[in-house]
Amino acid sequence: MPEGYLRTREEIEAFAERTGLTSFTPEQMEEFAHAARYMGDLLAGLPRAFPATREPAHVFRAREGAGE
Amino acid sequence: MSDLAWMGIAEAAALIRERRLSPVEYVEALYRRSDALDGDVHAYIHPTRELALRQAGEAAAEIAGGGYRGALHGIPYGLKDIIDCAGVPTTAHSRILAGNVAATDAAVTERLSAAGGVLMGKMATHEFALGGPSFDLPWPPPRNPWSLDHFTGGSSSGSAAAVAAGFLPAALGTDTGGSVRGPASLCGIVGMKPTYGRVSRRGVFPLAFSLDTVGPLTRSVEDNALLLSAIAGHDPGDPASSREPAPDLAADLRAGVRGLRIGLIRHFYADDMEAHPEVAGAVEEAAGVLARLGARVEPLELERLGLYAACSRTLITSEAYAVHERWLRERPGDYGASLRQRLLPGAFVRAVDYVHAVRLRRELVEQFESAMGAFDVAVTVSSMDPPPPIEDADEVARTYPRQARQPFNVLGVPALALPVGFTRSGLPLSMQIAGRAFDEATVYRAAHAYEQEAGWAARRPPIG
Repeated sequence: MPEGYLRTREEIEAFAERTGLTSFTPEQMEEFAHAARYMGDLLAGLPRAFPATREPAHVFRAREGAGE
Repeated sequence: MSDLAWMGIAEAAALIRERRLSPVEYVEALYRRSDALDGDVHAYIHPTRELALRQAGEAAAEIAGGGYRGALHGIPYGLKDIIDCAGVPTTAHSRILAGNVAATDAAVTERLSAAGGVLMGKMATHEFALGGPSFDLPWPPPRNPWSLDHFTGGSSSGSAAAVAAGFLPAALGTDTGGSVRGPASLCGIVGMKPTYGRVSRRGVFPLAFSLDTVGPLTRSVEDNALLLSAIAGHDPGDPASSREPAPDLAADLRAGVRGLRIGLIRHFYADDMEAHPEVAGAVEEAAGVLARLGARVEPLELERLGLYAACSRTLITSEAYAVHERWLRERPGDYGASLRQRLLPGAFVRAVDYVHAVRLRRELVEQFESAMGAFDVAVTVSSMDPPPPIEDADEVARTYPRQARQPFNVLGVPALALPVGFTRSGLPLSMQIAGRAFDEATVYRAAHAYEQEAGWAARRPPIG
């Protein structure tokens, strides 16, 4: 997993609290912790070495991104 | 007259126009079939019987008075239950929307009503078009009409199961990462994901704004083209709606494939992933049929499948979390476990990840457009595997991501799934034909030529 992601159970529970996810049962908090660990799989293969000035596709014009 | 359960739009339309088939008789026959069989298939969430009989009666009266509107007049259809119809519940197959009744029609519902279509009901889906198959929701997941022990694919599961089972000639689904083409593939029917922006999403509950499309599911390519022609076109109520003119997509259907340049994307299923031998064999055989019909079939190399998947996963996870964040804070227990587990990773995606994914998307679009310069359409697999047993959670989880549909969502281009045969045990096999942006007509043309030559559309599932 890239740097900057939550790793410990304490970090994950503090993040849930900070972002308003305060209604979780213990089982749902376990799912949340699993989701944090799953981030490594989710982001695997996503390239990060784009040139600094590389413009993204624009969301509602993604289809027309090339050549613009 | 052939069996109404298996009659397609084109055949029924001719009979209705000539007043040899009453829309009311058609609707009643289809409900008799679903009443008898849907207790096993579970395709419907909410039949709209009263509305359907009223619309069918109005169509019959109008046609009798000389007011025939066209190919969809008096034709029954279903809507995935994330698409609104005024006065009818939209549940998204979820407790979260229990009691929600749509105030207005979705744009596609408006267009089908204007064409004289008859809404038969709202169809089961994976919860909010993402989590599933789930056994902890108010409605069970649909079963595959080719084998009730097997998975339909998702998320437009009920739409596909109903069409495959002969409950409906046509239904609409939505496709964000393959959700029309996946169930079409596993249920042995035709499913089209149109170009992004081709069909309005106004009144359709979102999954991921930058990828969502609405598309038709039918038993034939011609019916699919008729239905897409009816729902395509600009809508100022959808910020992503294109102003590209929407032609009659069935007009060139019979032009054949002689001289067409077809790119076979073999590396998706031979190198990037290894497809089940019966799937790969059926797609190779289908490519051979297209070549025998006069197409020039040559290898087409795109970026590797994993790159498309990483892009798609990041976009869907981020955007879907934005849609559901408030309910995840306030009502996490009202979601099924499967959807909740798929949504929660979105809390952890950083803004920079999302921007990288959108940067990647642009590069993938540029590479595709460059590679497609030498081709009219592209052919590849849809699902890597035949339908798995629905109650084998491990096998469903293993096979679910093994597909080659996400690239065409990321690229925003049209892609159609159609049957290419059956496994030795009688389960459907499918391939995809994809095209350039807004060129659904050529995709349909190639698909129709193959379909007519191969003849798979005549086969019926062993149900009822």
